[in-house]
Amino acid sequence: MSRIMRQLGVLAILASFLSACAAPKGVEFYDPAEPLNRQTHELNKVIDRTLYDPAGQAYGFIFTDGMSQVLDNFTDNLAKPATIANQLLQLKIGQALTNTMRFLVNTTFGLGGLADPADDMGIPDTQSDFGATLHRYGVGEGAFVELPFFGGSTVRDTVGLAVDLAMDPLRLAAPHKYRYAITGTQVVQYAGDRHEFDSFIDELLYNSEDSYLSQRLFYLQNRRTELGGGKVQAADIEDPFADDF
Amino acid sequence: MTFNRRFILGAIAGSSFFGLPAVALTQAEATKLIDNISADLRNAIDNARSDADRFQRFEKIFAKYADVPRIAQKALGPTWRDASKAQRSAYVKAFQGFMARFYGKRFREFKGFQITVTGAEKAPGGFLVDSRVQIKSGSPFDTQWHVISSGGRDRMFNMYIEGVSILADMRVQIGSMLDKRGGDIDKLTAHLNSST
Repeated sequence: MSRIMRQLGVLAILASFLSACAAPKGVEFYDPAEPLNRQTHELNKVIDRTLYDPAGQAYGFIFTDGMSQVLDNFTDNLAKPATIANQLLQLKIGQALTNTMRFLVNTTFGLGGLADPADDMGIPDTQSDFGATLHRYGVGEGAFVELPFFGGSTVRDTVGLAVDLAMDPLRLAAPHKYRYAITGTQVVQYAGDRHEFDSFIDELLYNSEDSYLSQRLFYLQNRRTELGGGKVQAADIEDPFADDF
Repeated sequence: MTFNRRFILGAIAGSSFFGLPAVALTQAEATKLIDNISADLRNAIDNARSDADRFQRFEKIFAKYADVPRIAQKALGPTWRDASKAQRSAYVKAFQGFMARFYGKRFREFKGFQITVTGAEKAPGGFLVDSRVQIKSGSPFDTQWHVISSGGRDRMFNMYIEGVSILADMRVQIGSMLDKRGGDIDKLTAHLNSST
């Protein structure tokens, strides 16, 4: 109990620190570290060309659509305990319960998560992470950050990512030798995504006028919409008839 | 770097709900427009014989359904104000071709996609139509279409793919090009025309 309290204490301190460096209101993109982020972005493009893109090609060569679906199901199922833990922290009890149902059904009837019978049963599928938990407790996104290997993020979401990686309940519960297997499937899953959106990612990274600006826009708008409930709200969109210049 | 995956006819809008010019567009019409655009886009992506052919088909679709002059103006920003009539129309024409090639390349893999309209709500100047896009492999994703009544016709003004505005995307592209050319709209137009 005291350990949990201590961790919550750390989180509270962290949260207040992060709020203090939240983006000023009215500034669309808060990016004080842009020069450094741009360097990291160039590094990420090298990583993509030498690692991710070839891995994506290999994935497309090896896996058929059917196998790819099985792999998607498996990694989605592995991610469920962390999502459930975060939804409990966010007091989204209904979502945590349906995801628990999903995890139980797919792990048993779905042969360890290879199949997705929960989907056929109409059990809703939702995702969450610790960055979303911090958001739920009022932590602002803070500055934009481009992370090596991971790409776009924010200060808040970087903390979230670190916590998710360090405290994934599945990893903590799994015997040591299986942890590498979990990481392995996640890497293969990423290669699958790289393959699936090959043209899209190629165009974004290599044929944009300024790929750093595109990447930043994509990450921030996508993430803000996701945290705002998954849809752009009519009240927030750009007015086509505004005479702003 | 990861690409993140994831009503009923209402009141007919005759009033200017947002204090804007009267909206002649109805929810049914807005939805119908999206159905038509989707069908044409799918046809273009599935049946294009080459990149050039797909770009041409995309350009026709944009010209037919989108409010290209308004999108081009909004993507350009304040430079629009100081441009002459001839400069504006040359820029809009170049922009239309650029946009067709830009998205024609990005979406070439979306063969056989299916769009299901899931709802619509009132938005500035018209409606925001929600849809779910299913591509052949992979998870479906949300796409929202901002449809407005402009120049007596229903047209698409903006599109949000999983929350990312294509107008904002265009603004980033055009803004960078313009900066690199010292804010000169003629050089920008020439560049847009020469880009492949």
